[in-house]
Amino acid sequence: MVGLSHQTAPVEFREQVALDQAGIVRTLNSLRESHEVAEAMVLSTCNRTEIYAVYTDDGKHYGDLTELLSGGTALPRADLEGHVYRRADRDVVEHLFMVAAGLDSMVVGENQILAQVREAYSSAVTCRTNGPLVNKLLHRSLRVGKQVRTRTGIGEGRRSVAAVACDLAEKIFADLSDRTLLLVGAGETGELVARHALDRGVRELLVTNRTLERAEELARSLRGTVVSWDHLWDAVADADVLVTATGATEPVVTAEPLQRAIAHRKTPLFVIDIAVPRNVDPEVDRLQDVFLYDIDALQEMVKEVGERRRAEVHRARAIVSAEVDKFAQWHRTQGVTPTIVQMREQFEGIRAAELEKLRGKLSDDDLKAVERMTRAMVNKLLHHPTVQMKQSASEPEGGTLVKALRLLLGLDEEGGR
Amino acid sequence: MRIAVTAFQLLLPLLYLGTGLVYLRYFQTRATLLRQLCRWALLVTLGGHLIFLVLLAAEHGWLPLITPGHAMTMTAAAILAIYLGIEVRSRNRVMGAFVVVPALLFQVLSTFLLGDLTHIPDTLRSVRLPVHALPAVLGYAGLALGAVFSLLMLVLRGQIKRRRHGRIYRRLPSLRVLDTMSLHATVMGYALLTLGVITGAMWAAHEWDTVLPRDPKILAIFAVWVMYGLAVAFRWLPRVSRRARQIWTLICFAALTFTFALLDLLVESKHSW
Repeated sequence: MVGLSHQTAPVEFREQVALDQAGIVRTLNSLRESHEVAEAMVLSTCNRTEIYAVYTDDGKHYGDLTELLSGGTALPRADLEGHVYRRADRDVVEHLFMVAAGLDSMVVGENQILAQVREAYSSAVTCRTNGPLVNKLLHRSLRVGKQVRTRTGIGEGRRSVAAVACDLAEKIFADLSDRTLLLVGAGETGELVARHALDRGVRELLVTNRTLERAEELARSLRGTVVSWDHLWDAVADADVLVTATGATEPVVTAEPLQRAIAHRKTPLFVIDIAVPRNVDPEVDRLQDVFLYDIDALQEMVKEVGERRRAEVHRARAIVSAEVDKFAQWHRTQGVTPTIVQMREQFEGIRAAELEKLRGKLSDDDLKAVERMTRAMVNKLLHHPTVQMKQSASEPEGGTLVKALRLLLGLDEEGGR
Repeated sequence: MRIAVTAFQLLLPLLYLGTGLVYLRYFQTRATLLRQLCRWALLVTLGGHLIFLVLLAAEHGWLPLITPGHAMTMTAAAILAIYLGIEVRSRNRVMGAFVVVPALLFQVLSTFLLGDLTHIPDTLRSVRLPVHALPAVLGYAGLALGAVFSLLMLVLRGQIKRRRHGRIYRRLPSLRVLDTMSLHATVMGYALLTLGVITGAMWAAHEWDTVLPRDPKILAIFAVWVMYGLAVAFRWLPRVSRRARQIWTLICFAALTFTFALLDLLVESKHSW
């Protein structure tokens, strides 16, 4: 496998190497046409582009894959070399499992990568570049990705103030689709929270600002409704989520007028004060059914999420490591499978030939009885060697055993026996 | 028959405990396998409990609604049955860990209070008994669930207010969902309790020639019924905060439990077990 990611390359490199769907198909087709490549897959996201290939020989072929990676770009190969990583054998498995688990992502534990890995596999299937190894590797990596997310808390929580604020709003109201958000102030941070809330389905967005023109401009871009500054408290009475982000040096929202404004409501009010200096008097938090979070409280939550995810990383790595071992074990077993199949075919061939000699000499019933008996004998004779071969596949002497068996049974001779 | 009843009597607390532990583990890990296991554990426990109730009825030749132990075991089964309905509708299984606790408590207590019933008075052989006691027990189970959801909502509200975002904050559903669940369970429980009160009044009129005898326990139950009526009405009254409503629901449940279970120890009543 050859690739580059946010860990090794700046965005200027990544964006040139990144492949769209057509590019992925082109690359896979080119790999399929190569006689040396048995299986292949391409994973390309905004944070990484990686080419996976199974070669028919034991060579590493890093140069060919790097050439393919840089093929469609104007990047000199030498420039790219410093940002590319290369993996082979067990390291490829470990790398893909880490990627699927979100442990190699820019935001550790993010979920999107799992869908992207699935898409990469779909492309390989469509281009018919998948095979037994890619199939197994991808199925296992998707399973590892899911396991890590369900068994650890690595994917829990968000890592931006705006997203955390929206999570809190959902923790209070469940669903934001029947809620109104009032944005006080027309600054960038407030806009960001409003956009996040709109993405989560907020029904109505009200925007108010001391400078009406700025409020109108923002409301237009967010498809919200402008409220004049004089009607601030009426808007507060209608709002479920109040976001304050003005440049005022004195509190804009204080306890007494707020209490009057919300006196007749039965639903809670969630106040998000992301302004510095603060726009909301801390006394507001004492009001019943009012939840106040200022920028410090939100940042603390973001920090908690980060710490929680970090604490989960070692658990996630342990799952990945165990799964890599299992995959390696399976892969080693695959090495002995052809020998086992050949050995069984040879025994079956001998049995069938000897049985054929008896045809016509025995009655049908007797022939059937002999056939049953010889089949049982072959199975019993081969049971122990088969089990032994599979078990020894993961041990150092496994290769010697396979060689010895092939020699003893003459499996490498022309046409077998 | 006795052996089977005794076996189930001993087995059921273990089943409740096991179910509670599965739900608790799911609450901690949210593993997919445990999510499926939760439902199976709940169904097995509920199925076992229904068999136990049938055996008990067969043994006595009458409905098991005679002793305090009967009422408690019925309540435990009813809590699980109602919760199963809520779980299926809400598709949320994290609250099972909290719901199984009161059910387990009732089941364990019932094991000691089932009593050795040798004779059932003719008055209790009347069809009026199930008509009065069944809705009352089912209503109490609904109100117990409402109290659990109210308590969880207060805990979550406190966590959000105090900016504590631990596992309980992360796992519990939103305040709105808990509030709705609490309201639905309380309204359903209250409706059944009302039915129990009405059928009880009719029975009282038949037995004692008055719908509201001057009996301390009956008067106390009536007072709690009025209190719960307020708890339901608060939902539609302005100026009553969610927090106040939930606290009032918990007070009502404490009063109801005291009246049902403990008042007999303090006063003489016609309506004793």
